[in-house]
Amino acid sequence: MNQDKDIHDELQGIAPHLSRIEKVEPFEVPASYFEEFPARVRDIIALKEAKPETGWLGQWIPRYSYIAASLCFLLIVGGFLVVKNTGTPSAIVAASQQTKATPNDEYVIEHVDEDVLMEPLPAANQETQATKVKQETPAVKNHTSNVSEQYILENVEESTITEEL
Amino acid sequence: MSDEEIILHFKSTDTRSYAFNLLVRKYQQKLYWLLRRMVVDHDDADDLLQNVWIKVWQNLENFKAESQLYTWLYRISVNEALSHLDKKKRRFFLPLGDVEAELGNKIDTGNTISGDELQIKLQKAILKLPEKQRVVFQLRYYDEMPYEQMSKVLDTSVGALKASYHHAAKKIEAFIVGTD
Repeated sequence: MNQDKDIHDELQGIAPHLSRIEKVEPFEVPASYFEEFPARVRDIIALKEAKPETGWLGQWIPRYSYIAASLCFLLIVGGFLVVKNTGTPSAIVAASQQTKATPNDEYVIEHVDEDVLMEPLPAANQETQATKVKQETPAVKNHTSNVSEQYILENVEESTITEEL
Repeated sequence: MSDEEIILHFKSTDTRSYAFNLLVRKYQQKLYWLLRRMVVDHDDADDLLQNVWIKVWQNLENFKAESQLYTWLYRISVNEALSHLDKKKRRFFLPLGDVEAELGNKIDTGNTISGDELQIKLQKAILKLPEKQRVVFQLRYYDEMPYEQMSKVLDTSVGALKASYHHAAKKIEAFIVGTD
């Protein structure tokens, strides 16, 4: 091992005992290790670089599979959002249609005095019209409609009805 | 062949393997000894040396001649050795002293170390140093590396390296004199 004079002098100034120890590589190495090492490294690198041959199909499939997976994800998310968004207005429309007064009801509201209207109705029908319509089952709805028609026939003059029609 | 010529040959696909082979033959011993002194065990040093050369193969094409090739190779090797020791500590939840004791035991087993008693003492004293100080000491003492070059390898100022080497040499001296 070559002794650089400056380095030796520096060490002598710091650690005189240490500077007097002979510099040798302290460990043993297996025989012909350095002769064989370059070939061994070459083999390892060659092994690392030898990837499995996938061909043109193998090169394209992974790329397309990523795109397909991304599209599927977007479709699912998009579909979910569309269903969610379109579901809300239709529910509102359905609800508004439910609460919308029938032509007969409108006529009663316009032409019949409120006091007269409230008096003969059964106690069950004394709730507000909107609430009543929301909770109405088809059977109740039919019943209400019949009651209204009957009431019109009994209390409204025929000439008024004809005029309106 | 100079390092610059080897790099030029490496960048040509026709002569890449030839240039790499030259490079390995030129620097394998220096790098091996640096690694071996750090990790003591031959098999560990061998694994690390393989990793170093694989990294060199993968990155030499993009190597910019801003630093010397020799400096770059040392830098890769030092990083490999330090991260190996760090992994060892983390894997077994060992404090620094236990790793040092383990390496010291390998020196005591005898069949991995050549030389006399004084050499064994010197190696044990070196193992007592903190890892980075050990690298500084070895680069200066064994590889006789100028501080300016060491500064590029370890990314540390020349002043800090001089101080580190001074402390390391003092500690080793004290160990050798004290146990003599």
